[in-house]
Parts: sequence; structure tokens; C-alpha cells
Amino acid sequence: MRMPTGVVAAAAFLLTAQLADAHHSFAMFDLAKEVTIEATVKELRWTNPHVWIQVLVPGSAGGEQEWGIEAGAPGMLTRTGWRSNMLAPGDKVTLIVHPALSGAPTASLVKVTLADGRVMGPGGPPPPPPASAGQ
Amino acid sequence: MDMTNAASRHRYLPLFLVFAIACFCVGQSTAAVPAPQAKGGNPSDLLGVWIGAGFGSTAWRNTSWTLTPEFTAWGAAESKRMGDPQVSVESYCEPPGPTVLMGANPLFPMQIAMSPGELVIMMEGAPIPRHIYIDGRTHPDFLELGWTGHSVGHWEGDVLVVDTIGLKAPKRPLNGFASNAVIPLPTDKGPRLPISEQLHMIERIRLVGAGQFLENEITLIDPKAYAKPLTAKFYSQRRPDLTLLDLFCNEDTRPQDEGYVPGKAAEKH
Repeated sequence: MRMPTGVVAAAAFLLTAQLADAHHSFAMFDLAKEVTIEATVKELRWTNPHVWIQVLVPGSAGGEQEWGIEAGAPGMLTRTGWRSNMLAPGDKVTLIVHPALSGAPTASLVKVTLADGRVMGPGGPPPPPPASAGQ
Repeated sequence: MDMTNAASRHRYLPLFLVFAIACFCVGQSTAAVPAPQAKGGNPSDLLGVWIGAGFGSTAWRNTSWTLTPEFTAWGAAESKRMGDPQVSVESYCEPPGPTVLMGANPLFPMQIAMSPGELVIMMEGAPIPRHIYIDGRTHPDFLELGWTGHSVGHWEGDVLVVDTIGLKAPKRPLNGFASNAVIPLPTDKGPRLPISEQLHMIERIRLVGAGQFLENEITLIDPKAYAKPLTAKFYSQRRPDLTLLDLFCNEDTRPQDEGYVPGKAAEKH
């Protein structure tokens, strides 16, 4: 039986949100809410256990506020097409994130549109094998 | 069982790390070693890289742990305690044991390698490889508890039956090492499932799907936590196109148990 695409996507997200986190909970993020952020990259922290994108977000008073955007493990990102040189300080990006429940400037990445237009996710299961067998 | 004290364990940590790395290297370099004589299946058939495949719309679908376990008093209390999200903080860097390694994680591949007389199982993100002795030995009379326990395997036809004891009790629940205790999946609405140091794990491992899938029927006998054994099946797919990459818990030393908040706290050193 084939499930609707939306159901599959939702299940994949829940699975990713849970299994990606072998170390700490994502419970601090509002996984039912998505916020779009226009920001400038400060740093891509390609670290274990999770990759973080540090961005500067324009504030209402004219200044900037730094946000920490959490993605999956480096291996998860690598297998889904990410490379650590895809983001550089100063890059303008658009992020869709799950914000922190606390209102703090930290969030869980849903997807990011890079300066060159590519859209990258938070990491997840690898794509199917080149020649899928046995399914 | 007697346990060495914390200071003693730390004293041996460098030696342990060398041992673990050596085991990893041995496992990586001995895939061509002739298979030990084994009655039944051929352990060489199990070698390679696998990744969990039983969560999707595949013919080989995982079964879940029971949603209505018969807890002992200890098990019920521990299950309730594990519902506290603070538990995830306590277990931040806890090494995953066999129940996690063999749980067919679809995000992090595992590799089965072989050294004479044993299978070595590594998983991305698991710092300690698992050893399954298939040379006919039995469990030792005295066993220090550890994170991967002591595993011996024998063949029943084409099924590798693996018997594991000697495991430390993990702080995270069986159904929540990855998911933690607070974010439910549609398939994960049952109570948290603790396991204790009394766990006796029995696996029945076989190839299915023309050798492209690995089936592992896991039975957990834990009289401290449950009145009856727990059983579930997990499926992984052979993925020679994947490699195990780096994953460990503390390269990023910033406090992030509540998400990293810039400027909130200094990095740990």
C-alpha cells in the first residue's frame, strides 16, 4: 500500500527528529511550528554530534542577533548531499526552522536555501541504493 | 557482580581505547580471513555494511516492542522515571549497547566484520565495537558488566543465534535511546521500557530477501524489569555503497542540552 506523500514526509520527519538525536532531546524545539528566517551566515560548525549553523538575524532595533540552528549529525548531512564548504561566513540564506519553545534564539533546522539557490535539509536517511534490491 | 571503582576504570581508559581501536582495525582488515568452520550458516555471508530498512514501506518491516509490558515493581518505577526528559541529559554520552546497535537504525549504518572466531559489529556513533564469539566458547564464569556485554553465537541451520549477558543498565529506555522519552512517534506511544543489568539478550539473525536484508529477532529476558520476555524483529538492508563516518558525542563542547543559545553560557573546557 502506498501512503500519501504528505504522510510519508511527516513520518520521515518524525523519524528523523527522533533518530537523528542519539544524544539529546529535540524536545526544546516546537516541532509543530515553522518559522522563516532571513539571515547572514556567521559560521558553519561541522561538529559531532550535530552540525550547527550560526547566523546573524537583523533585529527590530536595527542591530543583529545571533541564532544557533541545529542540524543532524555530520554523517547524516554528508549522505544527504551536504558538504562542509557549502556555507561560508557572509552568505545570505533563508532558513525554515522549528523555534525553541523558550523563545531563545536557537532552533532546529527544517531546510535552508543557500545563496546559490540550493535547498538543503537537516540530514536524514541516505538516499536509496543505486540499484534497489529486494524491495 | 563486583564492579571496579570509578578511579580504576579511568586508569585503564587509555588502554581500553587502544584495545577498541585495535579491534576496529582488525575488523576492518581481516574481511579476507578464511571463515572459521561453523556448522550451519556461513558467517562470511553476514559481512559488510548494513543500514536499518524496516521503518519504511518495505517488505521487511520491523515489529515494535510491546506497548503493554508486564512490569515488575522495579520496572514500573524505572519506566516512570525515564519519562523525565532530564534522563536524556544524564545519558548524553552513554555508549549504545547491543539493543541499540541491533535496532536497525535507518540513519547510521553498521558494519559487520570478522576476525578469526568472532564477528565484530561497529555502528556509526557507537564508540565501542561489539564482539560476537562464534568459536564455540561459552560465557565466562565471572564477567564484569560492560556496555557491549559478552556475546557468543552458534548456528541453528541458517540462523545465527547470539546469546548476550553482562550488560550495564543503560540510562535511556529501550524504546527511547534515540527518541528520548518525550517526543512520541505514532509507533512509540507505549511506556518507556527500561532494561537492567540482569538482561539476557537472545538474537536470531538470518539473511532474507535473497541475502540483501538482515533479519534479527531479538528476545529480551530481564526478570528485574519484566515478568515476561520482550520480542521484536528488526530489518537492515545490505548497503555496500555506504561507509561508516565519524560520529561521537562531545566534539562540540558548547552546552546544548536545551539547545545552544548564543551568549547564554561559555564553552566547557
